[in-house]
Amino acid sequence: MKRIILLIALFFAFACTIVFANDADLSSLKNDIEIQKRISNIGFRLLNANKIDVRMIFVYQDKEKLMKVEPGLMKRQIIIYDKTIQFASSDDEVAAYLAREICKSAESYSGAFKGFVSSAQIKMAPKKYELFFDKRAIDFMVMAGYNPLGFITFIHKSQPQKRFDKVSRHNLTSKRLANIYEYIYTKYPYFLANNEYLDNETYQHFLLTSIENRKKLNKKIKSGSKKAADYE
Amino acid sequence: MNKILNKLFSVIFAFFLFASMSVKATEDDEITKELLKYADIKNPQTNLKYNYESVERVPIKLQIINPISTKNESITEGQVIDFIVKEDVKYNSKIIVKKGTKVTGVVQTYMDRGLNGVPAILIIDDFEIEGINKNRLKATYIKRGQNRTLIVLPIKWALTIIPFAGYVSNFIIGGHANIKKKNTVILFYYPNWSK
Repeated sequence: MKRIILLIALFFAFACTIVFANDADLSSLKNDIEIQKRISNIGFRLLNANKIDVRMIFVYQDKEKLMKVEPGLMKRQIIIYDKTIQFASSDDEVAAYLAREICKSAESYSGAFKGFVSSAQIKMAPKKYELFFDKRAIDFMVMAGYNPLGFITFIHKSQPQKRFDKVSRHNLTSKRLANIYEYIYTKYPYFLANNEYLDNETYQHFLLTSIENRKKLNKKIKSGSKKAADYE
Repeated sequence: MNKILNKLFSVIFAFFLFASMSVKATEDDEITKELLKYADIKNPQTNLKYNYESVERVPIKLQIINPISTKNESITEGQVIDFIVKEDVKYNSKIIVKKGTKVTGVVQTYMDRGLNGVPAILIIDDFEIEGINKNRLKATYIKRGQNRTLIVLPIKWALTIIPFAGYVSNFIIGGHANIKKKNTVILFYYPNWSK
């Protein structure tokens, strides 16, 4: 009799574990579906608004692979990881990340061997393309109705600041931010004149850390110079 | 007496707190305010109401008036470029844009040429044609310089047998992007696009 009671107790304990595990999985799945839906909506809005007539897909993944082979260039599959999306607190910021990756994937369609050479060039000269993609991404965001200042806040909180960039494959984040700011000032000053991000803590910290670079921009504009400012 | 002092201190504290907050919100962006005096502030164009069902399209052929090149240092983002329409544009047997009509485009952005044969890229967009809805135009014109990576890659691979020799090919620079008078810029007008 004791054995039967023990077996029944064990059966119920096991069944309960399965039910709890399923509930947790279901909740996680629902969350993943919501994020995926949000990413796809923003991604396709960017593609449609900018009339980008090449195929690419937007995928949300919670774990970053150790050995990644630029899926944006190889398969035109834009992956946004948990680690990245946790920095995006608004649709503007999600759009900033996606718009940048869209530029890269769209570029991989052009040129010889079905875009193979263009993809190789992006890998060979990442520093040059980095600034180019930043600027194109801003155009894409504006056309799709997003605030490009979200690009500044997203980069400011998600990209670290290295010591040097002379021998690096990437630009200093502060230099990237200064170039982005100059681009927004030159082409879309409307967003600076009607600044919705002035109360944003990240934006305020960007202003605080970019005083010297913004002074350089000020000097450049006043002098009418067309040379690139020497941002740091 | 203590109560009065407490109130006085809290009023002074509140005043300084408020003053410091308002300074933070305005003074930090003084540089931007000064910069905006020189800016031409326009409401930016968006394209949020679209319907790409229709496939009917009409080509609009343009010719640049003053050739431009990424070789020229005076080229800037946001620079307005003038074009003229090369041929009459007809839709439903009616001329919708006459030959010789002036059209403006804007340098959206450009990338200078680089090492490893990377060519310069010049992107012209935001074309304004009288009587034509911008959102019904498929009109991003991308001009690239000569792509010398096609030479770089075979040299690099061939030289891999000699250690470090492949790096020599890094110094091959790509071509400049030029839009000359002989280049025909083709835009497509989709009369039934947009809601």
